[in-house]
Amino acid sequence: MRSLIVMIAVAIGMIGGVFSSAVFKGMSDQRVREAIRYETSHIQMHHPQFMGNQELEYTIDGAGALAREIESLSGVAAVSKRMEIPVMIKSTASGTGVQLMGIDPEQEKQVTAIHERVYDSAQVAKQFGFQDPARIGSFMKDSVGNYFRTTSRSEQIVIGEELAEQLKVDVKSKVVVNLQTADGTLSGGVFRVAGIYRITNSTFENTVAFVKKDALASLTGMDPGRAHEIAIKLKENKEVGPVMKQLKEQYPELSIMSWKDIQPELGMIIQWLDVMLYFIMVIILLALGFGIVNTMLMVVMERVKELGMLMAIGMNRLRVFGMIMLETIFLSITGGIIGMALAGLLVQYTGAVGINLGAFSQGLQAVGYNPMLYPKIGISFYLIITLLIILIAIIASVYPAIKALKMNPAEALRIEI
Amino acid sequence: MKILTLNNVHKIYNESEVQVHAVNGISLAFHKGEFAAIVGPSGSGKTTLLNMIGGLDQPTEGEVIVNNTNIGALKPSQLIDFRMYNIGFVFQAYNLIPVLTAKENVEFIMHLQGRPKKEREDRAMELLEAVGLVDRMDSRPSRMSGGQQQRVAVARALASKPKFVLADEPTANLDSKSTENLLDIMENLNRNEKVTFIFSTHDNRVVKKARRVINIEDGMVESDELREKVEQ
Repeated sequence: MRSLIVMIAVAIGMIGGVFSSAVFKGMSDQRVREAIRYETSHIQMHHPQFMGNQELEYTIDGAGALAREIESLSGVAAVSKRMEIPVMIKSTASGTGVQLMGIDPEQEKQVTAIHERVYDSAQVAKQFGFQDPARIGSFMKDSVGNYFRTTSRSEQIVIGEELAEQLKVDVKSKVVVNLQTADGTLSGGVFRVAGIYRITNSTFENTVAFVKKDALASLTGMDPGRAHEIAIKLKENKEVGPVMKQLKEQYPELSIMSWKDIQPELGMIIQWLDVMLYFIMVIILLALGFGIVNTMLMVVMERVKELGMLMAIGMNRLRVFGMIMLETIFLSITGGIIGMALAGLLVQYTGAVGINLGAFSQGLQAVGYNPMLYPKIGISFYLIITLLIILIAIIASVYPAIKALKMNPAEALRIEI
Repeated sequence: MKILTLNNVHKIYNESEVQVHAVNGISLAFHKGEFAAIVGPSGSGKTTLLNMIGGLDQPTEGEVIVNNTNIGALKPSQLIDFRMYNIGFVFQAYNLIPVLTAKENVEFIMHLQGRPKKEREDRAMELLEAVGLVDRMDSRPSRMSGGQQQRVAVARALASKPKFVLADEPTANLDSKSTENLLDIMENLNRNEKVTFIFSTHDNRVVKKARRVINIEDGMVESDELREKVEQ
């Protein structure tokens, strides 16, 4: 019975620890994945002065040829050339500053996936946000999944749901964009909202809007072949390091940034989550350790007579010590393995189905987290936890075993329980 | 043949400020093949005396000599080994290991001694036969009656062929039929196998069977009655 309690306690501790770690891990992985997929891509290249001072003239020399060169590098999946200009955007209701991205939609689709999250009304974006628009087929128009409408005659702009709300505009509304042209004069243009995108990062939604590159070029008087930014999508996340190295060697005159450099807070949050994860595990394992000590002490007290008898008939102290230690370790490890198996199943299940954190989604979304959470944990984590349980079990077994050793067999035998 | 000698044994417990003189200068000698009962009321010091004879406790003064070894001079670790090879114990509450079967309980001490499997099994079977429990050899203690458990305990005590068996109130928890059965078994082992038994008891049924009765009161020997001399 006691043994069962020890095992259940360890198992529950494990489930709690592994599952909460999986939630954290899933959260941070998901955030990174979505940031790369919708916001930053893997690597961005700029004129070295562009990031400090986003002047129109800080474009990348020979961007077209450069993009083709980079595209042919191994590990690179796709490349998109963008113009990026800070502008004022105004509706009849209000106005704000945003980064206006001039893109080639077909190129851009290869690199980021915003187009998959373009909806044809603010209402739909709000209601069905984060879901694949293909699933809400009846609302689909030609802009959905496609940035811009093919049929529209006016200049088009795609904005985030958050910005649409702030400007109180919807699809088909008109907005005015004001900016400084290459020669320093002020210029402006009217754009019609072609689609509203919704991703998990509301700050991004609020500050980034998309127009066709040609439209932006004619507004600023720039050559449409120029670009402020080359966004690079890699075949796999792990290629970031090697490709970064190669690019830095090959193009020392350009600023080359990985997603971690572009969104330093992202790397920080991930590191912070990792620290949290270890804190949680340490707390759980500590609690577990004390729980094991307590229960095993009870076991020793309950079996005082049996231990007294064993010592009386000739079981030496080392053997008694070893017996209690082994028992503790065995129970803890059995419980730990059962707990990990159950936790593994739980993580697998919730990882596949997802956990809806809808109730907290506003706060989460503001910092870029998807309210659907998919817990996930790596094999190495299980291995580390197994080692930690063994360690905790060994440490926790020492005190009860010492307690057993200190018993005097003559007294132990006479104790009435 | 003398197997156990007590020379002026004292045991003083310091209970807070008051000293308790549990055993007060006892000198006794036991010979091989004795069937002796140490009798006395509660608090007379018989359990303390038995603990010292069994090497579970050490005298404050005096000597306990088992087979020429003064066990009072042994280190605790030596004492444990000494008990394992020289003394068999039967306890009032049987104290079998609950997770082991009757046969495994009997084998246990030989296991501690590191005897080979074959020898352990043969000896266990021999002893279970002697206590009439061969048919229960695979039963766990929880599935046996008190009398049966105590018979397993007797078999266990004999497993390592000890110099003598100490039984602390072995019949205290048994009904009269089980008591009689157990006493018959022990008497047979004593007469036929020359196993030495020393009991502490205040059970008249045990006292009646005993061939030597030592009365203890206030930690001292009141009387020592030898009813039947041990054949040498």
